[in-house]
Amino acid sequence: MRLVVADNDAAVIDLLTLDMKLEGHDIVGTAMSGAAAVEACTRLAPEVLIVDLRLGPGPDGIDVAGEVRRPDLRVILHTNYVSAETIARARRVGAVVVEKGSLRALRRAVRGEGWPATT
Amino acid sequence: MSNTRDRLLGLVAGAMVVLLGVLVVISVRDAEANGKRALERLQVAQVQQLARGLDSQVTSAFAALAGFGGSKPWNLAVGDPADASRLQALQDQNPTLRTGFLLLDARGIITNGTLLQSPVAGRPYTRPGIEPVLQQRKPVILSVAPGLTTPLPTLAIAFPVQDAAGGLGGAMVIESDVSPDSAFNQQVTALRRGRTVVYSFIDSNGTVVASSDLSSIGKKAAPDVLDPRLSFHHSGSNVIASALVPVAGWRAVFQESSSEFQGKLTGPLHSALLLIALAALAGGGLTFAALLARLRSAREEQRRLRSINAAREEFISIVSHELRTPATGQLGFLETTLDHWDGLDDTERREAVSHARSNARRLHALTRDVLSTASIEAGELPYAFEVVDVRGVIRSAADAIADATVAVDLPGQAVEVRADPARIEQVMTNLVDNALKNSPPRAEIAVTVGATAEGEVLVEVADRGSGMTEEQAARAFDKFARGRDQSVEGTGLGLYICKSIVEAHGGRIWVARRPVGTSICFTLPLAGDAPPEPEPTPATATTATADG
Repeated sequence: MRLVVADNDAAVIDLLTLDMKLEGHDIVGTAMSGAAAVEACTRLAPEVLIVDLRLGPGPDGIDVAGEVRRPDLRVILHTNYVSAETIARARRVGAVVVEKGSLRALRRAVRGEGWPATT
Repeated sequence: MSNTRDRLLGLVAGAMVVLLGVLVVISVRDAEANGKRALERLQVAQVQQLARGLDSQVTSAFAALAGFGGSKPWNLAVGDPADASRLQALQDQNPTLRTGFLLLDARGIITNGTLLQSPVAGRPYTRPGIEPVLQQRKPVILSVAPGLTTPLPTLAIAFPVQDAAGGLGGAMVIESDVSPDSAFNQQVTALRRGRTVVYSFIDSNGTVVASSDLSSIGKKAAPDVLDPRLSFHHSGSNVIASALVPVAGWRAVFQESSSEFQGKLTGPLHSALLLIALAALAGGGLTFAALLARLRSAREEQRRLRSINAAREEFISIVSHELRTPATGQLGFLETTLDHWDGLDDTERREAVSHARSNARRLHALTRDVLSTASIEAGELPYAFEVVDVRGVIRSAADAIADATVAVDLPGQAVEVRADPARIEQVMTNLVDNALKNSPPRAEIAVTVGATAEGEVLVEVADRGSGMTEEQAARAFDKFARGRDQSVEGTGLGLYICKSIVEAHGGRIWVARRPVGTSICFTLPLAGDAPPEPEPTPATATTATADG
């Protein structure tokens, strides 16, 4: 899969980049803000976007998911803050929610297994 | 709005107190009015009783005189010696009497008399009021008029007497002087009990017959006293109560100044009213002020608690986020390494585990900062002071941050300070960590140790990051002050802890704003006597200092 990883924490980007590469995926782009994530998805046309919920000033992960929404792009909201409201908002824009701390759940979501994949 | 509502509540409460006072005043005034009416009724009753008493006495006197008049006939001839002798005997029975007796025949001619002031025998008795005695055979009290048996004004009792033919054909007149020292007036005077009280008896002509006001005796009574209203009424500054003495045709009158009459009742009441009114006003004012103060205090307390609660919630939110990030990072790198162990070469494994260690360090630093802050606020952060070479402490802190580019410039000779090495290392770690967060990736952090002109050790940690605004520099050491921009992670506790530790060591800490990046400087007092050579002091052109 061609992936874009968006998170305002560089350590998370490093981790996901390493792990997804080891999983056999291509990391075609990274972003550290909501605006940069939208730009990267528009420019690079990935198949999967892994995006954090809180991205600092500007659009959050769900706003980004809404903006880049298209049938051939799977958006995974990768966040520490999983709540019923977050899940509902994500569903409305066609995204799934994976809680940070479980790489295996994230890998399954990237592969498209068991949607919606929430932990 | 809150202030307006507080004032309104205070006003309402104060107004209620004042209203209560008003109600009390109204009740007291009502009681006062009732008391006055009761007093008036009492006084009227007293005057009426006086009048009834005199009326009874007059009635009894008339009855006695009627018997006397009909007991033995009189000759009723002018100058009759037997009549004269009997009259003189009557006079001699009352040697203290200052007035005398007169005999009249059926035509009203004076036939005899005692103590006559002039020869009036044989002349008509012209005193007004005698007609009912001669014509209707009724005893009467004649109004005050000049007397015939005394030079003083007199009132007189006239009653029918039996003549020689056996019928009631003439009259006897007994005069009595109207004067201050008359026996009757002395009785009236004895009634007086107040400074302005006047008791008077007034005949049907309006002449004062007797009075405790001696100057009015024998004169016409004042018009307000002759007011035809009976009972109780006010006239000018006086109160007047009057009652009829029917048999005598007189009026009994009580007079007193209004203030004296009501004084015993209204004096204390007015004093009480004044006290109540003052107490109500003072109470209302105090209630308003106290309630307002309490409301404001409660509102301030509410604001303070809301602020504390908000700060606590923000702190919990920040800390929980900051905890999760390194925890999940640490777990993630270890999970990746273990899951792909065979797919990684040694270098990649080392790098992954190194990332895990960085996250673990971050987690450790966070928990240490939170616990340190709690200890600082409880005044319980422990220190173990000893004399140490500060160069070793700084080197140790710089080496611990293995994945950062930290350039350390230390003096060639020992720089001894009295400090807790672990706490100074904590300060250095926080300052370097802060510099790293606010610098571009792989930008150099410079740590320099020198001295101030005052001989203190001066440590400077300089970054080449985004720099601080004046406002940010002013708040840099506040608790929860987070970063130079919102994207920088952290709890906002690092510099707050540094300030607390540096000040506990007797030092100062401040922000030095630079053209590029920021320096944070702190001092420590030297432990030894010989200070290090002074070196150029970094510019302290900053608006934020956190001097100890």
